[in-house]
Amino acid sequence: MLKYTIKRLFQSVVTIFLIATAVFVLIRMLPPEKFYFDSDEQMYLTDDVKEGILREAGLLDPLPEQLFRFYADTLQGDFGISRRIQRDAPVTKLISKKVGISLRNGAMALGISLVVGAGMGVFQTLYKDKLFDHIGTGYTVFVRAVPTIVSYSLILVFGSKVLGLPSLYSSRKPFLSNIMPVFCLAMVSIAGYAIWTRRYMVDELNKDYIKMARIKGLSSREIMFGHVLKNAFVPLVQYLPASLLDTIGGSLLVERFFSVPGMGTFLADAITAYDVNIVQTLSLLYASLGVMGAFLGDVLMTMLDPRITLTGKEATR
Amino acid sequence: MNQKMTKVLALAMAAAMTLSACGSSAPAETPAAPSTPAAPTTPAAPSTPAAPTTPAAPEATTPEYEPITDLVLSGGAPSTFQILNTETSNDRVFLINLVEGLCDNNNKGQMTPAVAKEWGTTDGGKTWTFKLRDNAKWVDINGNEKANVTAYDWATGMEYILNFHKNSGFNSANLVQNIAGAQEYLDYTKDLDAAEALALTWGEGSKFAEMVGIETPDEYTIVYTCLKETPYFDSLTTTSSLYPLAQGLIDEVGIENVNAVTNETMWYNSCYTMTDYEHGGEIVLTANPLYWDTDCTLFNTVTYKTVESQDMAYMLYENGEIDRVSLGQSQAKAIAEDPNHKFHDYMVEAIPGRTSNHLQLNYDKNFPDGTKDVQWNTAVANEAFRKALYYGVDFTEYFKCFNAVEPMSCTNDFITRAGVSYTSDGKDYVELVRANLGMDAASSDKIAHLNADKAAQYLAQAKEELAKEGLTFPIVAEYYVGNNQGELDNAAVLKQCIEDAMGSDFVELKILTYVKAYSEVRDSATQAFGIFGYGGVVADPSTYLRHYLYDDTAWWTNKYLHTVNLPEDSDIVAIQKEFTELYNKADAIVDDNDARMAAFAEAEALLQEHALTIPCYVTNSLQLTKIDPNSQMISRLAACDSKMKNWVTNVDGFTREQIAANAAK
Amino acid sequence: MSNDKKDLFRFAEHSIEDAERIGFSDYSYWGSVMHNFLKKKSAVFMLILFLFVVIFSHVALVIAKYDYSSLRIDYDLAFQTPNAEFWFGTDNLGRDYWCQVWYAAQISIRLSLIVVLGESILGVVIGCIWGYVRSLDRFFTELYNFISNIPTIIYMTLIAMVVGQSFTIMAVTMISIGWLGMARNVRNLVMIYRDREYNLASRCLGTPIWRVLHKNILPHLVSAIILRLAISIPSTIAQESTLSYLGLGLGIDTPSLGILLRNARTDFLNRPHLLFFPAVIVSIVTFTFYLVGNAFSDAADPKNHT
Repeated sequence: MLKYTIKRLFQSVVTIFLIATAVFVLIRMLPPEKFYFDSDEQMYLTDDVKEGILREAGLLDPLPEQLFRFYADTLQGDFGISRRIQRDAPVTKLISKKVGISLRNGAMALGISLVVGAGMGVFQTLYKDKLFDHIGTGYTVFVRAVPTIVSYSLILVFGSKVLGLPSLYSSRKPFLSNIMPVFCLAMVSIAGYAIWTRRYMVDELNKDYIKMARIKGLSSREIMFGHVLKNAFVPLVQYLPASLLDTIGGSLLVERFFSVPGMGTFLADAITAYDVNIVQTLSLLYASLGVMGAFLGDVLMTMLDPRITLTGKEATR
Repeated sequence: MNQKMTKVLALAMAAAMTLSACGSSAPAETPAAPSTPAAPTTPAAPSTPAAPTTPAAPEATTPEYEPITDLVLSGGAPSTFQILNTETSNDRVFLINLVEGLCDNNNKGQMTPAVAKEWGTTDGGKTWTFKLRDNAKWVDINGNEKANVTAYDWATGMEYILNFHKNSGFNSANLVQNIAGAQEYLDYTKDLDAAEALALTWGEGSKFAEMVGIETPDEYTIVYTCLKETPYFDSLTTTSSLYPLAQGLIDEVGIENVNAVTNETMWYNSCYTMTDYEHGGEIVLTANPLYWDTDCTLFNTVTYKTVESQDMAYMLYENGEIDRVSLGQSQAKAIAEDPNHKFHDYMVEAIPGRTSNHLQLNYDKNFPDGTKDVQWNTAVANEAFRKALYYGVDFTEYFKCFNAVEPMSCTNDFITRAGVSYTSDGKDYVELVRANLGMDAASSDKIAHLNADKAAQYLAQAKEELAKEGLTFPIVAEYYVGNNQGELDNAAVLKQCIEDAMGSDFVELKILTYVKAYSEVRDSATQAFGIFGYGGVVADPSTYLRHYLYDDTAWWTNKYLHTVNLPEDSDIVAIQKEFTELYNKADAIVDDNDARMAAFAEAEALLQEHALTIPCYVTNSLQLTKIDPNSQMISRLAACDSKMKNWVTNVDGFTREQIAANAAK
Repeated sequence: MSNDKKDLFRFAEHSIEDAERIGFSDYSYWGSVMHNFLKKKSAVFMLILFLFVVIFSHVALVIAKYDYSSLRIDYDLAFQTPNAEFWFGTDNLGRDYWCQVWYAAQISIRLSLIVVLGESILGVVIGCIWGYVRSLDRFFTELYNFISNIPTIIYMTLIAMVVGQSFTIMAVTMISIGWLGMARNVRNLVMIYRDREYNLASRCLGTPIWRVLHKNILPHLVSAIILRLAISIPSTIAQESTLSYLGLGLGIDTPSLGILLRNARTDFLNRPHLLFFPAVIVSIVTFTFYLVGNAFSDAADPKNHT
């Protein structure tokens, strides 16, 4: 296990290194004009000023030189400063503020959708092909069929006009103003968890050992919760760490709609503002989270299901 | 300032403001309401400030409206907290509430005292003396006193701007053009190495004191020396170039971190401190308890919310979650057409935009592959073609994109923004240009510079001449906009305006989008024209006109018209050279304001006579608001209408009648 | 080998026809699939409805009173509700909404079909290679990790900025990112079935690899592939509308349902028709593929064939 972990760790570092390099090169393909201004305000700036800004940011150096400086700085834990979002503020400081918000909202939504979604899936299996199952399926289909951009708008209007909730996130009213964003986030993933829970449980129900258990005379309650749910949960759990880490990334649409100052809008803003240091740091962060999530998921799965080993031939990723 | 106090003051102020003079904010195009000249042009002894802001004693006891104490607005976030280090108006919107300069504007566009008590010039504008008040304080985020605001802060600020290694040259352009020795000092610091330059100061015996035209004879006096007689110099004090920087702040954070100050580390001397800052979320300003003007009305707090779209903002206003919303074309139309609409009576005009927008024609257009677009270049070099555009294109429908109810209020007939400079008898400078051109007076039902007969004549002439030159019709004109629905809709309307006027079989407008920076299409000269404007920096026509000079550094010439690439003997260049001559002649007149204006008017008329550029619009949008726009500061120069001082508010929102009544008072 | 023993053995001719003949029954895989699928009435109905929408989106433009390419702006006609002249009403600039909606529907459906088709062809081919050829596993896994861990918005922004925006660029970009999921899915399934006993036996008997893949393994994949396709179509439309929302979508000459939805989304209380028509079409498409995908994937699973 230790050997495997070290190997995985090494591979991850290589992947992250490649991603960081790729993003670094890609982001420099953008036209540098974007760097100093919006629109016509630039007419106040003389060419001297523009060149000064680019030089100060180190963007006029040859690419390899910039790249090696980036490696050196990153290894020392220096992720640089923001230039356009907030002039000269350390990137890490800006990000750390936002991670908390996205993570909190995301984790709440994840918790809700896990409980509600899995619960729904369980009940759908219990009442398979009965009314509750159809209602559940109807919900999941509806959520998937209506474009999120529309359903978020519906929620926004309904929440603010009918329920009188604050439309926009406000750190001074953290509870009330968080209801709608969290609900929007949860609404979609509830459907996801319900579908998969139901599917895994139904699959499990058709297995031979369940037939055996029935023949032995176990009650369907014991079968459901003692066997089926337990086994159906394993594949679900695999993606849990990844989803949790994913929430750090935030949701672009939800954050835009409700003005949540989280990570989702941050990346989009940083790209459009050509704030290179922020984009690089965020990509590095996302890559690390993605790799870490997959690894934790695998580890968690081996802990829950002793039949699975990571060191075997079938170990994937 | 405690809440109760503010409330009482606010009530008093509301009463006072509604009773006392509230200047006309009517669009300056209507010559009926000439406001008094912005710049004190009489070269007298230090002139006393134009309009003292001390409110009249409240005469009426019952206020008409219940004022707002905690304002909520929609808005973005500043990208920096160092006002000297930014030139974008988006940053200034916030920062002028946090840092205060020498002068402000009042609601009539006149200069009023801010930190400076009084100012003036005794030698026709060569040197300017500013006397500062002694009760202005620097405070920290929590309103605790840090230091006194003194004249030295302005010297520190100017040294900072002109030191290339400290401020990368931001905001230096205004100083370089006006202050003696500014260019030399900028060049001098540029050649130093960074460490050396950062160590420089402004004090006695320094290189700065020796070179640059600023002196501080005592703690509360500043004397500026200009390059030449500059009668309008005081209007420059509202721009970021003449803002202060406290030495104490530099000592506290270190010279290399001055641009990196945040709302928590910066020093404040204006009406508010920024107590909360979340990029993409909320921003909260809180009234500065130590602000010198204890008689003014401030809000307890002002919250800025990031709002996703205009539609969303409208919904928030409906819900009462924000206190002001500007209306899009569709919303305005819906409200105007429905007499039973709850906002029907509440639609009011916002403060008109500062920029004078033109169709800037490109005389040296390229295809994206770098080859010349002969069709367009030939067409636009033809004077009849340009005049057909000038006299023929009716922008009325296009104006409806900005103001669906009174589109004509967006009319712009000149290069210079109306309401910027005046003759000594209070006549707007642009009226001189109008007289020179023989243009009709501004009216509410027609764009004054249009002329159907001339348009038809020139159109026929252009078609004939261009056909002779071997062009194939339609001539395709590429027009670039950003990829968002609002701009695309506007472009579609513009396309229709132009094609209706010129005939779509003659000129075809092709709408394209840029995703890269706009400057990409501008610098590669792939656009046929762009609609852009400029808000001047000083109260003088030169601030707009100098950008059309035949000169490598003139902005419009170099970046949009691209005439510098044309052969020396072309007609366009001849016109521009003639203009340059007239301009220089006008600019040399410094002792007689009226003669100066007349000379500039002649130069400007020349450009328009040849339709070198086509005046298009000024923004004059509609809004729903709980803030009386009559109480906002107005300036055609620097963005100052967002300084939230002495604003008159009404929790129920203002109706059109109320605003009009307030304006009339 | 001595001469007398040589006579005892002879090489068997490998003939596909003979091989078929031995295992012949009147079982036909696709026949069974169709048979099972047709039993699901709701899915068949939705499929017919979808085909109707596709065909009608073309007919609608022919019978429309206005031509999309020559729509005129007229403020006085803005925001008409559906009426005899404007069957779907008008938009904010007074342009006929009917032809906009159907034109956009055509574009969006075409885009999602092309993307999904491209994704699945690329995904299945690469997925099969990835799963079957062990030595390439590492390479593809690393490639997968590499591509999937860079946020999509970075690709989309860069491509929009560096290459440009158009229908083709959008389709190619979405395919080049979307194949990953499909390939990974296929790869996992191929690995499961690759070493089953009957495949080992088949290989020993000299069956060519492509035949093992195509006859023995692919049928097991069909159901998973179809399900993935069904999810992919709605998500393509959703992704397109999100990208349009960010200004990174199709070029400006190509309207899409995503763009119409984006424009109508916040004002729908006052003008529901602008949101309603595109939303209904998107929902029909999504719903169809969900039902049809599920029904078809059940039908395609050989385990369910009797």
